[in-house]
Amino acid sequence: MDASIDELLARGEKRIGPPVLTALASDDPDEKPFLLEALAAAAALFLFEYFCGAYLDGLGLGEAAERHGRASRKLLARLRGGRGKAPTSEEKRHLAEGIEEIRRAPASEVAPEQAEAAVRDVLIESGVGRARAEDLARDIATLVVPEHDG
Amino acid sequence: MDEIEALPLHRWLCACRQLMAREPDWGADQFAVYLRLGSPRLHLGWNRLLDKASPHTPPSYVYIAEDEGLTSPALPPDVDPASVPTAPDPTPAAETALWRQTRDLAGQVASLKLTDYPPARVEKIMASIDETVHATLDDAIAATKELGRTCLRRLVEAREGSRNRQLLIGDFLQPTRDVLAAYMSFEVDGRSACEALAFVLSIQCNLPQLGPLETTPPDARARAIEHLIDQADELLIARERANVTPYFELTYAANLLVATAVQLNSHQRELVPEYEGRSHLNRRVHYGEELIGHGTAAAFALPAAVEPLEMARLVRDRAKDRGESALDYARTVVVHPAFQGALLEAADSDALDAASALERYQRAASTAESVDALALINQKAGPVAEENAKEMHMHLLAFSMG
Repeated sequence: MDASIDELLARGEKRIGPPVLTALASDDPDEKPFLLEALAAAAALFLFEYFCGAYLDGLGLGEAAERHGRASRKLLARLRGGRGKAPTSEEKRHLAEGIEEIRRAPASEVAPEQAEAAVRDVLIESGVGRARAEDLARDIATLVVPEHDG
Repeated sequence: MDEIEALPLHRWLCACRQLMAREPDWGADQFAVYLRLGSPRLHLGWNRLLDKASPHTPPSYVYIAEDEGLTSPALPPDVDPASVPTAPDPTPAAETALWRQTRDLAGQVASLKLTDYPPARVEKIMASIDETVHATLDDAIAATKELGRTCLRRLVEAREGSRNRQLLIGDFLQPTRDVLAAYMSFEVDGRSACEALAFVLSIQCNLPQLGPLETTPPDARARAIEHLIDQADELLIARERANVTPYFELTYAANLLVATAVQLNSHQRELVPEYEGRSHLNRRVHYGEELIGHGTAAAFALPAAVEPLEMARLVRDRAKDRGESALDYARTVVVHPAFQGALLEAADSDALDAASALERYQRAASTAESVDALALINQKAGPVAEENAKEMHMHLLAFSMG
């Protein structure tokens, strides 16, 4: 499981890019950190967790949705506190469980759209341009649910 | 024609963009940094940066470490300001390698007698850049003010022309497009263009008075900032499918849009310090600055400086020095996708000569789309946020009906 999650995170990381990373990791609006490449894995993990939380919520799986929502809030706080670090095995296992749950669930029309929109909105709220936020949210959705075509 | 079809044209246009994207001294300084000419202005640790073009602007501070960095308007409390060196002013552009290169390349382009760039057009562009390169600070400020006054006159004309119920909303939106077009054709540099554009985008939102800046509704200014960042983002996404000229034009245009957003945000911070959405706007602007820092800043220097084969080998060698893949480093220095595809791997082949490398690049680029950069920006209301344009329309209508 870890190997495929590592691969997923690496793919997510590649799609994020430094401007999005800075937007996600900026805490003080008067200060602009740069060269944050070390945080990319943490940012990818956050986006996948956030997607999972919203997707599971769309499936009506409240408890699981809350679990992943909580994990994503913690990750965002860590990112914005400048404490981005490589995801731990436990965090990766947690994400893998969420993805497993999504892939096992019956097909849903609502959940993928809701999750993609949630990722887009959190990116825009972080400062990312609308077009790139939409692209990246679609990429995250496709990585988690490969048959998802937006 | 796509500029890569005539290599001296491509290199010359990139040199012009490098000089004019912000202002010539800065462009020439960045060129020296990317080409590793001379010693760097910034040292490891904290550096104080002064903006000599805006003497009243407080200094900013840049922290440089081996693998990270930070820009900040203030020093941390534990750093003694006296210990922080002030970065020296950049060498005047007129005395730099970039300016010499630009003039040499202009001569080469003129001698080609291209249909799209006949000698008279090349001469006109060079005369405009020459004036900007040699302008004193006072000249530059005066030129910016004149550009602003011209735009204001045209806004007033459009407003007055609308008195007889003939709504001149197109004329009212036109000055922003004209500033953009003047920047794209190297008539004004990015610093003047962004100040003029920020000025017009602000006073347009206060009809019928048209200014002063203090009277611009803060929400309208916020919408203008958000729109400019979104538009810059869209241009940088669109460039990925474009052939060489639009790729570099979209890159160059995005630079102006973000600089204008930065300028407007600085008005907002100064004029409405307690604005509720301030933190969000700062985030948007930081994001825009990062787009420019990572997506445009390095784009013009290498193509202006060296031919494609030499550039491919330089990218390969620097990537090796940094322990990165050539592709990763190519992204850092923002090379055209066709260049990536055609030359990065081929650069290792000793059999490849300069002419065949160029041919490979041209062939790969010819399959990309030809996008009209200005038309793309000017879709809908152009640099004006759609909601602001709608409000202008309504206010102009009310004005026209007395």
